[in-house]
Amino acid sequence: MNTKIFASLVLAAALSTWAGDWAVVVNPAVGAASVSKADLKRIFTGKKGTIGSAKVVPIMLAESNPAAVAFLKEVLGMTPEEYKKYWIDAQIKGQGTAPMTQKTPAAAVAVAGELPGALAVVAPGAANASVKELKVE
Amino acid sequence: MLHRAESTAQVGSGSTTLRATIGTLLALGLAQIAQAQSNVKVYGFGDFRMSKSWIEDNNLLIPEGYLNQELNFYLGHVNPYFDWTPNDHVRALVELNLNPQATVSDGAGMRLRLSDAGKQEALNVITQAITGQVIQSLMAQGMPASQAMQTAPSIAKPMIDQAYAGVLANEETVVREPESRSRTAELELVRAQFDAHITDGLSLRVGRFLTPVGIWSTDHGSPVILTVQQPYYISTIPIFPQVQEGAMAFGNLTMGDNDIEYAMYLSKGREDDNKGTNRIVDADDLSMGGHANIRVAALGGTRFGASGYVGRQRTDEMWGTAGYELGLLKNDPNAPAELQPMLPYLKNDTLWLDEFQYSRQRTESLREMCWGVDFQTKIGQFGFQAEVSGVHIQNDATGGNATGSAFDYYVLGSYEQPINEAITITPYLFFERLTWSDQENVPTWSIGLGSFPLEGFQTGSIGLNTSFWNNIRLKTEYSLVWLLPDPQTGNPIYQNKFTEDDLFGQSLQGQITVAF
Repeated sequence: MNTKIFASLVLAAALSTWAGDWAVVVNPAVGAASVSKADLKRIFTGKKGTIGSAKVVPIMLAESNPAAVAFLKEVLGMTPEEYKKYWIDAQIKGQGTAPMTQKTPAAAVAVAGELPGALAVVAPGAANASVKELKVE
Repeated sequence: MLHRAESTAQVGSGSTTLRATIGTLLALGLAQIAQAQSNVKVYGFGDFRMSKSWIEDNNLLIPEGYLNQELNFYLGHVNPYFDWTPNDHVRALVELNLNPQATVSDGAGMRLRLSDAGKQEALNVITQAITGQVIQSLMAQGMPASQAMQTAPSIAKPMIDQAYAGVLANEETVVREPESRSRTAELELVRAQFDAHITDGLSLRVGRFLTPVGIWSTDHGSPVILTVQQPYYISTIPIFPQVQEGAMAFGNLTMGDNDIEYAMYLSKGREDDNKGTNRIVDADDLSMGGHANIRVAALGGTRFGASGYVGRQRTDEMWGTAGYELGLLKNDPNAPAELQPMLPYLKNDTLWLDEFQYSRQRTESLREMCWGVDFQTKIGQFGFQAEVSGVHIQNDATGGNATGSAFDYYVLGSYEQPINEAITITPYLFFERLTWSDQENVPTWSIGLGSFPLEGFQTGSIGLNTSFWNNIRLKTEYSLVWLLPDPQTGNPIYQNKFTEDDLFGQSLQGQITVAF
């Protein structure tokens, strides 16, 4: 019995680690099935605009959302304030403008479902049939 | 899972709620999609600055406007950006500077003042009269009195020098005094670049763009610069040209977790007014350069970069040969009225214009070779960056024997300390040293300090950068500047005229900058 409980806890922990506190969804037209954290960092810092050969348009969650805070910390190594500062600086340097922001995961999913190439950070479980959730490696 | 349960509950509460939710999301989505697809954005930055320097009256940097002794309080920049991205592959960015002349208030300027007011008046009259005669004669010859002709030194300078010599004979008292100041607002096109994004690794750019060099050449906006004073090798004596007009290929590459940025460009070269650099006479007139840097993930994103530039700077002078004779007009009552006031001060004779022969000649053809390396890292809250730059320049118009060079380095250390979510303070230390040599051989090189008996200068600063809500920054900075005398060269005007105190200055500067 104890072995089963322990195995269940390990499995739950593994799933929790894999799922994380955030998820990434894309418009179904984006062909990719997975994305690396390194590429996510590049996409959300304006250094990269594709996954494989597919163009992507990043969509960020508002900083008040816990999924956004967790994503920024885990993938970009930034706080929401540092992320804002990064994009203010990038604009002045002429490197582009910040990705569009959605206030809620539901809104992000709705936009991702309609906008070709959209890649959105959302809360775990926010995905629906209009989008495709990417596996993060 | 919790979120999904909430969604299910909403759906189950009734079709009205469902329709409202879907309608709201759809409206939000369509609005955001429209925003993403229109993508015309206007943003920018502005800054306001004060500075006060404590320097001796004879400090050599006063006449050139690098330093002055008064309190300066002025609008530094208002730079709006117009950013248009019609689709994923095209981007146009235009940056303007609405007040580039504001820094003129920094400059005291210099003009000669003779001890005798009458002689000063005569000097002014001579200058005006001769310049006027040159222009009138040019027009009489059927030539347009263009700006280039007015300023062609081959015509005006020998005459004016001769006249000065007549007035200044045995006159040694020359002091300098400030010119009247001006604050003429102008509109400067900082950059206008048009990009075609082909892949992440390759984009093409044409237009006018900031030269991709090191760290602080392209990071030119005050909100992204930690210090008040940019390094002198960028702001005051640019070793690399600040902008290019031409075409560039650039992109981002990856090597594992490491990121590589590169840029390669072909351009018309260093910008300099009245030199006709728009004209590419032959392929040798083109300039080219590049930059690459790598951010090493294993070293916390530490950046190593290198830059290079090979350029041509030409001087095509309108060369008019003015046959003039020295007439014995000292006591001539028939001399033109405008020349009468100067007659008593002439030694023996004065000038009279005769015939002109007009031609164009390339008087200078400078080959510039610039290089630079840069380094930037962050360890915890400590930041460190350094750049080293140099240039070797050769005047091919004189057989390639005339050369000059310059070398600069700076180091910057900082410590970033958040106070709360809104405020972050960053104290910093900065040191820069800039030296040059043999620039008398390349007189039009933009370093422009060839008349000073200096081999360079160095500066050290301590400052505090306070960030409020990320887009407002208040900076205060205390700096020391040491001029480095060069005993091997010297202008007679300045020889034995300066002391150790004249070679040292200190300043306090403050700046408020806003990104909007």
